[in-house]
Amino acid sequence: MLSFVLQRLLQSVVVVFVLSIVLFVGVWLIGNPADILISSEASEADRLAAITALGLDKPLWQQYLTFLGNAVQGDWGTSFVYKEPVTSILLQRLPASLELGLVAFVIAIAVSVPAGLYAGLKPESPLGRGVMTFSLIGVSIPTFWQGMLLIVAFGIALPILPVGDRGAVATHFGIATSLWTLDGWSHVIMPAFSLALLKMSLLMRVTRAATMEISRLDFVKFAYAKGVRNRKVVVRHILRNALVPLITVTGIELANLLAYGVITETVFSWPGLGKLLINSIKVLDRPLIVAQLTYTALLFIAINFIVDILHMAIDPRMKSVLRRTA
Amino acid sequence: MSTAGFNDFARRFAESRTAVISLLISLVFIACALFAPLISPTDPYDLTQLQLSDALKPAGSKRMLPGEEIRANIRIAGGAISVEPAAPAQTRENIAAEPCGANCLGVGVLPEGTKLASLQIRNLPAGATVEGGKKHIVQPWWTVDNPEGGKVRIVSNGPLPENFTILAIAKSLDQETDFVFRLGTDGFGRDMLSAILYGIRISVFVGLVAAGAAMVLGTGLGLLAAWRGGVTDAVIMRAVDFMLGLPALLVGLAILAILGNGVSKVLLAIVIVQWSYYARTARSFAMSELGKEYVEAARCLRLSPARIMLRHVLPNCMPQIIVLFTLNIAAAISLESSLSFLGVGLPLTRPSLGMLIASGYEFIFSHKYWISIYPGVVLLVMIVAMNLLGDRLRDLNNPRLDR
Amino acid sequence: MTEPFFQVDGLNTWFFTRQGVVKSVRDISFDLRRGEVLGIVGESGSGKSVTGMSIMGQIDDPGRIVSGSIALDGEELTAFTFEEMRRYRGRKIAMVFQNPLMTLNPLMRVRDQMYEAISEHEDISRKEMHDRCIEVLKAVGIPSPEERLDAYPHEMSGGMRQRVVIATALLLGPDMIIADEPTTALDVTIQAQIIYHIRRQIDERGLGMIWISHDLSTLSELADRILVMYAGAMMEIGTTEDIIGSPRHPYTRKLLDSVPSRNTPGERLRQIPGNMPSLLSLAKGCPFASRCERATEVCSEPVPATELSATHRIWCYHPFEG
Repeated sequence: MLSFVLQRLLQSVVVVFVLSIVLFVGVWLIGNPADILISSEASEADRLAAITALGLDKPLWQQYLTFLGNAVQGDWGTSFVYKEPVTSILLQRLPASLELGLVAFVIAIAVSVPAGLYAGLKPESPLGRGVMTFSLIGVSIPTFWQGMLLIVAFGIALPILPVGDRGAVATHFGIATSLWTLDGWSHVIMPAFSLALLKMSLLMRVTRAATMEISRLDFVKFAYAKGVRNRKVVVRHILRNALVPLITVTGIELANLLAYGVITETVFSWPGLGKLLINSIKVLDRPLIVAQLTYTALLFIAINFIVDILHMAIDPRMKSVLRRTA
Repeated sequence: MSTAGFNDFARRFAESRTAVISLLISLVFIACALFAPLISPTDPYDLTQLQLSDALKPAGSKRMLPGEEIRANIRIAGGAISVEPAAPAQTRENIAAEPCGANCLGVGVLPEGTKLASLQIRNLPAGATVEGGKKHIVQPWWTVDNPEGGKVRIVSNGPLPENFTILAIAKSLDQETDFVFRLGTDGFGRDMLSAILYGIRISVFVGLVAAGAAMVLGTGLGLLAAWRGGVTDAVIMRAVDFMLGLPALLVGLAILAILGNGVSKVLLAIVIVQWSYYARTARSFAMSELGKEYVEAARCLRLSPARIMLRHVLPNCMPQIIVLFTLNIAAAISLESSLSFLGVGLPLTRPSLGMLIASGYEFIFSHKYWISIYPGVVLLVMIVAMNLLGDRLRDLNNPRLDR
Repeated sequence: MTEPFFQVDGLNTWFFTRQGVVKSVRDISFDLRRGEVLGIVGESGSGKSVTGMSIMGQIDDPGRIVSGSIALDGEELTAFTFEEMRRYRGRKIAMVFQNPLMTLNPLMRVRDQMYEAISEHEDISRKEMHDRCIEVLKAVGIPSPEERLDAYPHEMSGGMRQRVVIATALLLGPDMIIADEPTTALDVTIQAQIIYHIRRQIDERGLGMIWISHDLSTLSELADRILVMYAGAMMEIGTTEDIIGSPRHPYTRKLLDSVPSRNTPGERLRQIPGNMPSLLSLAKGCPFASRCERATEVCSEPVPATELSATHRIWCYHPFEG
């Protein structure tokens, strides 16, 4: 098991390496990195200084090493627009995105798993059909539009929730987040729900399909034949087995939550990384763009890695396969 | 597929009412897309037709012809009144002036009783005011809105001077035309119905072309990977795995961030996002087909690989590929609208539905919902219909669903 | 002969689907004695599995038992509530399914799955449960039962898994076991072993067993009586000697003929031409008539039962001579 973890870790590191090379080459291909990483407004002297600092006057492979070295130390260059180091900008906005993503994730799972389970057990029932219809619309509705609808419904027509921006931040246990305050919750709930809607619908469908398929399998029939109570069969046999494909999908969708965070943050003016990305694309703040895309890619790789490990931990069949091939 | 096979397929398809309805809806949208120039009441891209005064009107309001303006210089010289038309060009010279008593001059528009939006008098002599008029903040101009009977009275405490010249500017009311904005107008005065029809056109175009190109590219690569095997296969499949893991929106954003806006770039972005689905499906089908004996036989006969692939392997994959295609059109349309909403997609001059919604975003706070809501509903219906269609096709393909 | 303790009388199980009513089981009647094995044989779609599931009360939407009686020791099972039936399952009637890999939950250890069978019905300590499991595992001939308990299903061979499943069925000392093709997925040698152990348990415990199969040769070794089903209806029922030794129904004969071991080498394998009729649109008379060489006009009328002997009954207008 440990060797598997190490193996996976190594693979991930390799991917990160390859990614960094691809990124570096990509940046080079688009244009002179000097143009990309140094603001065109800088004076000539500043420019020369920056070039030396970034090592752009040296041969290519040396540049790469400098780039890597800087990157690992956390120096990603300076933003054109904000005139601050990129990493500090990212770190500033990170908690907001994390909050949003986390709440959305929890909402999505809390709604979709029970709903999908029910719909899978009783597909012809009105609630079961309702779940399918709801998920169909949820999957089809463009995220930004649905966000706007929510704003109109709960922010303007019935003004019960504030629109835009994050709520008050409080610090407990050394963690500063708006989730500690009621005001924070009132701000986060709409965008989180909007963000969660798409994933929720997808997960509902997946859960339903998995439930339906597993319910037909012999071990479920056998469990009933043993005289096991209904609820226990559902939880111990159906749900537990449905979790296996569910975890894989959930992992991928969690990574996806980051992408759609971009739209939701824009619609709700949520001060997170997504909004930052859009703004930086519009103003061509290249160091910021490069850094953000890299961060996202890293996050992806990390999440995939975790999903792989989880998958292996849950399914005993995988453990044996690995034991044999180890 | 033979005619009999197709008939059977059509019959089974029609068993689901929702599927048939979705098919009809999709066809309606395609018709809208094709015939938009013919059925659209206006051409939303024709900038000359737009009037800012029409902007932000709710559904059912009529287009207004802005009122005309007439200017005339009225010269009083020793008791005689003369009216001369003043620049800029005007079509009527029906301003008249009449004394209305001592220290009073009436200025009005003929015929009497014409409704005016406003009547403005400039260059009033000192000490004179216009009854019921409002003075401009800076300039010595007096304006009466909706003057009764189409005339105003210039009065003065003392006697009016012997010679003076005033400028009278009369604005007629905006006239209603018969043209109705059935769904209201947007921030530029564009008819929403026309904008939506053209928006459908663009969305459908982008969806079909992008999904189609992705289909051709992806299927081709998948078949290639299956045929060649070995390194080619490994490389292509790694690429597919990689692409499948990334969220569509981020990839689209990244590509457009680098390449900039434009239709062709949006198409390219969507193709890059979607090709991997087709590749994976085509490859797995091809792999199973290639194991069969007739392929061995064909290879012995030295038939060209292209021929084997196209005539034998491809027809087997087609049902699955078509299902993917239908679902992917919906995804492509959705992706394009998201990208346009974010401002990195299609250019502003030819708005797609996403762009329309984006342009309406700022107005929802002033209760002008329709600019964002209507295109959104249209978009939603389109995507739902395509998804239902794709779902139905997929269920039909899946033999396991019958008990 | 002892009195039968289990009776099925006029069982009708139908499925009400969107395409129509599928009459999977029509007017099936049979009985079972303690220590006896009744084999139910038929092709796929003959209704044999549905019969088994009907007895267990596990027929789900859109199907249900339309009419008929199922009586165990005088208790009418069709009148039971869900909870009453649940208490009988596993405790009084146990069922074993075909594919042992899928009969056990791949994510749970064997021990947990066996304990579950007990704990749903009896409240005993873990130590007692453990001992009982070891006991039944030994009874079905599993070596080192302690290790098997800890294992996951995929860590055992097919034959071992099926023995575990059978052992689980025995845990609560049921009066009756229904086995739906239990050895079909296993190879012949394992099959023989399992049959041996099952027979021993049946004799020792005085169980009644219903063994459902499509394979007459297996049944000929194990069953005391055999019921031949086709398209949801009974064709012939009798002792094994009756059915195998002197089959009278044309369908039974065809079934026997199609067993490969009855062929002489080099001879063409015998098949029954045609297909089973669709259960959606059944004609009135004998369902086998469309494939039977002996069929005449009268076969399209409903077929009454004919008593050929005290043990042997047949549903046919043109049975073979004895």
